[in-house]
Amino acid sequence: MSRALISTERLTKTFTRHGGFVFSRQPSVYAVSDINIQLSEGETLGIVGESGSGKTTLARLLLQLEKPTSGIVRFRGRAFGELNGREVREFRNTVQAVFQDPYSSLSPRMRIGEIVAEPLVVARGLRGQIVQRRVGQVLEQVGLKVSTAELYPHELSGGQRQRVAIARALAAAPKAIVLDEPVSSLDVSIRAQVLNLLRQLQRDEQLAYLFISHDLSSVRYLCQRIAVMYLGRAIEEGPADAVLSGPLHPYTQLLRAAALPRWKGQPGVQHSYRAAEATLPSKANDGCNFAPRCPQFNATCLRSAPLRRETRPGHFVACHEC
Amino acid sequence: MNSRGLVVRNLTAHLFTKRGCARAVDGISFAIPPRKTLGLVGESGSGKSMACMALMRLLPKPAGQIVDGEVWLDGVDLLKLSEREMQEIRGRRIAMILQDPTSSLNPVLKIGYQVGEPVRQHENVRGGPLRTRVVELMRQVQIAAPEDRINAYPHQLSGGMRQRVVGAAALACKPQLLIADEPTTSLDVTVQMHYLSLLQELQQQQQFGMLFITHDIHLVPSICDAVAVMYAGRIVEQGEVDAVFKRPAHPYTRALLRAAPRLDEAMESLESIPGELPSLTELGPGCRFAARCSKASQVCSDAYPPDTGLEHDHRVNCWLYGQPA
Repeated sequence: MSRALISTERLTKTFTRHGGFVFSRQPSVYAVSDINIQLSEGETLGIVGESGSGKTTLARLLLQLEKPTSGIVRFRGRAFGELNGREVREFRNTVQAVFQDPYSSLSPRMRIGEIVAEPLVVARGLRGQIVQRRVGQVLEQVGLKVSTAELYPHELSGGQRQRVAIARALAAAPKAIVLDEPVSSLDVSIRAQVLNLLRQLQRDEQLAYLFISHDLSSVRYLCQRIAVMYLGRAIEEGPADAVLSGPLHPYTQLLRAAALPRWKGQPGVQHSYRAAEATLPSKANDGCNFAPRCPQFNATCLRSAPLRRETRPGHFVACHEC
Repeated sequence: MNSRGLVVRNLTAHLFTKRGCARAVDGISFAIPPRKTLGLVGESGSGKSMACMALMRLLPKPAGQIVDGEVWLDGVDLLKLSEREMQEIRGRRIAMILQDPTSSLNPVLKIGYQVGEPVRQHENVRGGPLRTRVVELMRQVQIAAPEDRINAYPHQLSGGMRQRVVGAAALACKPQLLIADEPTTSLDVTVQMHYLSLLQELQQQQQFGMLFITHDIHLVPSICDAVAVMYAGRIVEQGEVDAVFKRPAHPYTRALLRAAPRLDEAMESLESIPGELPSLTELGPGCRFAARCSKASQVCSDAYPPDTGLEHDHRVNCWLYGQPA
């Protein structure tokens, strides 16, 4: 087993919803509940889920942009609360992030060169020539000209901006990058360029990726392991090939059916899936979150939340019925 | 023009902006026979939404202007109608579903009012009969408890439900043609699957033709009979879904089909298309894809390739097929 860079234990985050009246509190929303995941060096882990599944909240928790309600995030085996200042800085250098929207993640007032240099200047305290050299180096690595450093973000296209965001993440020579829907806002032809770039970089630099996406096909392209989230819970996890070719959980099966190419008139839609949409996960442990949509649910599913169990080595599922 | 359904010929719409004239829709032709579905595929900036705005005569004023072309609906040229006559066509004979249901619905009006609006406008139905009709329309798009939901506001519904409400309003006057502009792009994949099968069911029942606009070429086979691929304002290839997907001819279509990762096979690398879309204000005389095309030769940047027929209705604009005369 390779070394765990980041791992979580029963990680949970709730948000309080505010109702109509100033003091009328509504039940908390469990954005992330009871997540145990591990990202090892050089490993690519895909987190798949639809909107509201908690995948972005999970990313923010792992990046320490959000404090967990309960549970622990560990960096190289040590809980976050126990890290000292130097170790926190080391974490910031080791784990970088790329976000979905390259229009809002780059400051419009900074030149590309300054944007890419920022992690080096702020976290590493570097200055001058050495920073310039590194900026040029990573810009070339992501397929941009060194002269791009002189431009402002508005002078670049969406695909180029996302390359800049990747270059910024690479600048501090991280061990892991959290990628939150990095290709969702890009057009198909540009998306392929960026996915190829990410795969190349991962192999060249032995990076670990936590790749968050709603698109099963991109996850399959980039990741060795995948975890499927539904309303805050990880309902299935395992090697990408196993999960995608033989999904166990009814929700994973539904996701897969929705993503497979189909011809007109060919029956592909499973009508046994009832209500088409997810509801908010407001209660913690009362039953399986997917039960209201599940074609196989029974009385147990409504009473208690299924526990995660290992069906084959490395393949986990949380379901009473499979 | 006596043919039934929609026939678009050489439709050309330009946007006159400060930075020059953008040739957003540049001489496109296609036909949608009654009850059939045409998929119009293109990336952002390819002109697919501008094309449907042009044929609805809803281009942004004053920048957008239709420069040339004909749009025939059952033998009537829509571009020759008065604005008043056109108003009778919109919502009654051609209806639209747009990408974002949140902005197509008015947040301060009740759902029931908005679904009933086309009926009130075009058929002058009011009161009890209107209410019955609206409830029926909402039931048709599988909104549970429609009698209660007519009094709900858009923010009280989920994204998928809102888009179904938009669908109910669009189909309220039984149009002959439905223009669906990226109707499922803002929806989750499982909701998208449900919405598309609902659209198809309704099309079976009501027998309307459909122009289905999407950026995702892989959605096309599941819902369309024919497909037209747009690139930088022009249709570069069109034909029956079966022909285009099994024997794609244009290098751009081929690249699009191979650029997306697939779920059913492990892929070593994706075919990416180098470069980006050309600027619509600075187009040369040649093929617009030439700068990104691996098969481009000198003729490609000198002259626009002719429209060449391959088999049945499969047509392509590419110098690989049409030899310079």
